Amino acid sequence: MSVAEDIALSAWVTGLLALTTTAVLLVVSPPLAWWIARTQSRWRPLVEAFVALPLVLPPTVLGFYLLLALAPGGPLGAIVHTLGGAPLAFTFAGLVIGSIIYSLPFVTGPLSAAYRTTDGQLLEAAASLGASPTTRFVRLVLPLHKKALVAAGVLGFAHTVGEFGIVLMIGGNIPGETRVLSIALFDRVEMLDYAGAHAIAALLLAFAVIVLTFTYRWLRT
Amino acid sequence: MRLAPTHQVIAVVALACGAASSAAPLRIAVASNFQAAFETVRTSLDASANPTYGSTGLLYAQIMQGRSFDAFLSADRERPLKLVAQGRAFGPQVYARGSLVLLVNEGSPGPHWLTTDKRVALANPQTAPYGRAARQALDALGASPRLINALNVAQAFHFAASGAANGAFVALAQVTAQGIAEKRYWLLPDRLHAPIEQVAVVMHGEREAETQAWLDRLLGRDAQSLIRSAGYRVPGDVANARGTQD
Repeated sequence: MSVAEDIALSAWVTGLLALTTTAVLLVVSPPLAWWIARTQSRWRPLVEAFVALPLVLPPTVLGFYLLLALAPGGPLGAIVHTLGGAPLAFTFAGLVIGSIIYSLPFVTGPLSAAYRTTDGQLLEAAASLGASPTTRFVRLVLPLHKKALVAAGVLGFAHTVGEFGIVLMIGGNIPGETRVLSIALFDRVEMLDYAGAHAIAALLLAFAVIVLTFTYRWLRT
Repeated sequence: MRLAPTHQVIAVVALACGAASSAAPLRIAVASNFQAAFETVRTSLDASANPTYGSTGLLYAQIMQGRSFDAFLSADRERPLKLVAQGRAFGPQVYARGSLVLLVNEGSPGPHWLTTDKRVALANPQTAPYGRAARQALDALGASPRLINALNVAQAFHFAASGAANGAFVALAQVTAQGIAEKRYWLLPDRLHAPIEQVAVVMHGEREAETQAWLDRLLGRDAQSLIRSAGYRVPGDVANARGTQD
């Protein structure tokens, strides 16, 4: 495999991983963020803490536990095995699970911050007109905070592209399946292929600058 | 003559710094496979040594980028010789000969175990000599299990130990250090891969003489016998003492 092919294949895996992760997070995060923003439950701080864990934990901690959990004898691995699935460690699906956990706070955080600003009178008016909680959320809250949703999605996508530590621990560096760009870059440096390393590093840097610039510009309009 | 208090402080600090620099441990770059053996021998060698563990390729890359070490205990022959050719190091010597094993989590290990449904971890063949030897052995056997690439033999071992991989190609020294039962690993015959000759070099720098003396002790009889019991063959051994039978 040539250097260009290696980079292209790793870029494909990275893009697919970020896209899949973001898609899942855009389904999971809005209800979770809404619950966090509105609930009076005494469990809220604990749930919030778990969501925010990846912000403060070294990715290697998550990766270390995830590898044990995903192993055929581990809790997640056992569930998958019972359902007849193949082992998840060192697979693309395993990386998606890791990335969802890793990028969860980057999508849920901005959303719950935005949802907290929701006008209570609007919600009461909708309720008095007979709108159920689900209808109020889908028809009122989601459209009201459309920008926050897009921004959260972009942030989740970009953050997943920038993932390294977890993939290093649970990926197994398999070309076309779990070798993402950040790992390919690490490989190039170890092989002393600095030209290849420069190409990947520049690609990731340019991606991050462009995405963030356009997102911030769009948020102001 | 009495010194002013500030001068006393300066004198004490200067003395402490001087003492610290002469007693500072030697900085040794050590290939991951040799970690357990190194921990065993370091206390038996007089001078203290501060190891940095990593794949041979990673350590070599760091040296090329200007990270300074006093010695480099590589897992291969090529990279230390390159450092010598570049004038960065001198005095290459084989300090240990490695043996490759296949460690498995279930079943009985051997060539027949390496079926296509097995997920087997190996150190990155491009940067880790044990990974390269594993790659050569797989080619020689015509086996094609699903390969999981680890950064170095330490991570390859971890992938198997966590149960996430079915097995791993690791160093005999690692299974020896972990006290793993013999029925759980297969010592690969020498003919399946090029010899793993682990070469040490002294890096050019201020502490060459001290480092050379340290390396001489590593190659001395006492340290070498510790290295042998850690799971290596040593330069003094008759070749093919182990690992020739299938």
